[in-house]
Amino acid sequence: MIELSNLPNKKTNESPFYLFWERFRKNTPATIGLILLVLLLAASLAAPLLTDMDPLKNNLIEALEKPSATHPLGTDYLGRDILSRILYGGRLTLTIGFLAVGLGLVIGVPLGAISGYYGGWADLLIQRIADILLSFPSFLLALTLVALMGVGERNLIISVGILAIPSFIRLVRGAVLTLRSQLYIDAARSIGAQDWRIIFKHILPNAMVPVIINASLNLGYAITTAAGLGFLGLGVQPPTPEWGTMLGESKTYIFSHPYMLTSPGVAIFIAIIGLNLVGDGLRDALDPRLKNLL
Amino acid sequence: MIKYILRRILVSFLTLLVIVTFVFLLLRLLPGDPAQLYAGQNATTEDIERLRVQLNLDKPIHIQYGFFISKLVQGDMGISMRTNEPVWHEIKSRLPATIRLAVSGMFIAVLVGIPAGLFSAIKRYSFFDHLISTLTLVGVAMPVYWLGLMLIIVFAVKLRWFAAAGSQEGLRSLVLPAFTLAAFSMALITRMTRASVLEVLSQEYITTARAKGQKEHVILYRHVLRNALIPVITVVGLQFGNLLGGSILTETIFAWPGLGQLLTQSLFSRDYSTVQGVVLVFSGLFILVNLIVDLLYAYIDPRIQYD
Repeated sequence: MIELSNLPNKKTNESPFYLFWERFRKNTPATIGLILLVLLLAASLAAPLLTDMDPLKNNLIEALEKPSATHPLGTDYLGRDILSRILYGGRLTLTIGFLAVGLGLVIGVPLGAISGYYGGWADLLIQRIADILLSFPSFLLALTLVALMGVGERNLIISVGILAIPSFIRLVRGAVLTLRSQLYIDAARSIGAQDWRIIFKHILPNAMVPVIINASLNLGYAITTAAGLGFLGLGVQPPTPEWGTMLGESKTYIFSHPYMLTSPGVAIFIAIIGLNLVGDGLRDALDPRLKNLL
Repeated sequence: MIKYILRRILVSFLTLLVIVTFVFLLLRLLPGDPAQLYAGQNATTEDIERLRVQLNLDKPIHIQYGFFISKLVQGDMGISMRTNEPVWHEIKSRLPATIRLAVSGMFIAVLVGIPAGLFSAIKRYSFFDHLISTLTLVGVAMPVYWLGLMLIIVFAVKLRWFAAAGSQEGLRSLVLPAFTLAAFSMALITRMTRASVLEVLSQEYITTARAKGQKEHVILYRHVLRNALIPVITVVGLQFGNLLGGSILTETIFAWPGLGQLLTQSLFSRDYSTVQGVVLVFSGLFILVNLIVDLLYAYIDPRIQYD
């Protein structure tokens, strides 16, 4: 008989989170992505500590200045400090991305669960909704929705969020379909658990892994789209600093003052690359089987 | 097979109908009175009422819908709120530019993406594999609007190799917008090809082919590439929709006289009847391409299930 206490036990902490973290940490690109994201988040949260410039204050005497000691990234056409606009703008750009994907998740996940759990006409209806949302080129859909609802931060979040809905519906539906026939679900039903309880307590927690991964991969897309709308002038409205809007405002100065266009673009690029790396890392660490699905 | 094709066509048709309905509602859901929008800011009340009757906007909504569909079938997309010209005329004159840009973009993406992915997979973990993987990472993360602006700064302003805007200078004008549009799809196609080739390379029939002494390049073309390209075709098809969406931004950046530019211009001049037309044409193209890809897929991969 083997004494359990004699078995090699190097680590005492072997919680699922610890195991996940071990795998994630060994993935160099994912770690780089996480560092980039943490830096970006920290910089925008700590904006008041990193710069004492006001991102909204015009100073026409100092307009269109090249990068210098007082203005490390230069000033824009109204003399506003670009660095402070990038830092404060990050708050808005990232918040919009998170809220939009959050909206897609909050609507898409229950719809997907209902679709997979009940089947029948509800399934048919919800799947057609997803089909319709997917039958537009996505940027065109976001653009049309914003035009329809009018510009503004709230409408921007809604229209970008709507784009994220179908992927959550599809994913959760698939997961629910496989979980529905598990023995423990039958067991729950046999002791009289109600449908909503089975869905929310027993099915959805087990379908969370693909949802988390999908959310992280969708975040990059949401940020690019929201900034793209800002670039066209249909996103966050000036003078509020947002990376895409900043690019759009500066594009007339592309020939004379190209540096104005560099930093907002670099900021968006770092955010997206960080999110993509972390998303891929999450997928590989949480569930490598999903590699071909997401 | 025939049944599958017919059903797929029917589904595309129904999707198109839903989109037409959405586009019809677009104008009616907008805040404000459509007749007022047509007449413009300075129109008198009589003008507005006359237009309302003329455009059938005084009829109940289902009658309006009937008119909308029957006109659309005859190729009539209504008149522009800005120019008072038929919307279809403007769209027809701009469609070739957009198609040219999208097809060039796709051409670049496929022509670079598939060989790059194949090479990357064959020379797995080599320096070139890492280089290509890094470049695809960059390509996927680069927002199309920023890439376009950076390319203009480097290749049009500093180096003066290519034109920064417009489409008058032939190839000199086409290269930058086409590459900008292609970058994302190129990266995705490269990734997909690499993954797919690696998967095929691990199959037993490849080992068999090698064991019987088949030459490596024959194995690559006859066995690997043919099988590996099946999933790549789906990605290429899906990317076409992405290219259409991307062309809205690309055309705006490069002042490319296509539908994307027309769409943004119309949005800003509140020319919603033209917006309707462009959205319809874009979505119609997207549905058409998806249909073609699905049918092509069924033709190429006989293992596909038709029901």
